[in-house]
Amino acid sequence: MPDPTADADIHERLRGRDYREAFTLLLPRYRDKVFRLSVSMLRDQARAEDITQEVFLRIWRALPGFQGQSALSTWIYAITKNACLSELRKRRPQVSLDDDEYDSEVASLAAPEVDDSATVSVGQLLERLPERYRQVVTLFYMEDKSYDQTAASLGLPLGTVKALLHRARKRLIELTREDAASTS
Amino acid sequence: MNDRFEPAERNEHHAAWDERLQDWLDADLDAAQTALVESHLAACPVCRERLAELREIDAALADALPRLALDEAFDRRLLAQIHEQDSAARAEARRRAEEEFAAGATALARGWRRSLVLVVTGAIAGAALASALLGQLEASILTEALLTHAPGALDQGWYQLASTMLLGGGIGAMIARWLATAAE
Ligand SMILES: [Zn+2]
Repeated sequence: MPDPTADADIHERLRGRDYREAFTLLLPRYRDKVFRLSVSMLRDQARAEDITQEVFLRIWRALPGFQGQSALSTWIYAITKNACLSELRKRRPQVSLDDDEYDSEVASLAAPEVDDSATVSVGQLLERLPERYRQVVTLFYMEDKSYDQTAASLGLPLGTVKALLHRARKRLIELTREDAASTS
Repeated sequence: MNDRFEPAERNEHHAAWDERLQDWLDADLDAAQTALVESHLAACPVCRERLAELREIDAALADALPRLALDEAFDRRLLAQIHEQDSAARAEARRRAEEEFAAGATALARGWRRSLVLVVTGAIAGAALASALLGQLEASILTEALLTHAPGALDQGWYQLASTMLLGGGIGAMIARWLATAAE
């Protein structure tokens, strides 16, 4: 999946033990991808920004130990996923306590404009999707509808991403219909 | 025209075409498939209706899930934090190196002190032993010499002192080495 020639410039710096230069190349290339992956997992931009910072601090510290055993991108996304998962585990008990605050955060992320109370925003519909669908859809659109980038970030085969996206959007159409039927 | 399908047929038709419609919308088809979908759309109102729904949900998702990005302010904060942590790590490494050096110096001084004690003890013990030995051996000779060659008596005294020191040093070194191995 990941292009083996990708990040050749960074690998060269790593071989020369020029970690500072490697990091300077890596940060602008991966910053937003790590951030979007974090948003898709955490559903919270502020937390995702904190986690992104933590991820890059970890990368900086771990860079001398990176042996190129996997693609750099795979390594970076794996670090991101681990950081998000441990953040989610930390947060879980808190979520059940202030659900209202959490919901409004999610709604403000997924639906920037104010909706009529009669129509349900797509952001709210997204929340009704199974987690896998929701995450794939979120990342796919944030990544400018790139199948490749979505698959790379999530560490999933391209075919799986496409299948999940098809089913997710089909499900969203059904939910829209159900919603229209229940309000009319 | 929509009623030319029974509901079951309609579902079957959707199952056959939905994915391709979605792929067409995502611009993920080759030229031949694109032509096929477009000619089908021209003839099939059911698929045109479905396409309108897919397009609507696609537009809503694209609106709700913008291409989020972090800015240079993030980079600056991150690099400042890295700098801070690295300085702290360097200070810690320096502190640890100084501690190790101090511990090494103390150990060295302790070693020297112990060696000195062993050598001095060995020397004294050696000298005492040697003088006792020589004293007994030469008592008669010395008395005799003093009596027979009165002017050379002083030379004889110096000779005895020198030989006592020589023998004492030899024995002392042996005792010091034995003490050192015993002390290990
Ligand atoms: Zn059709």
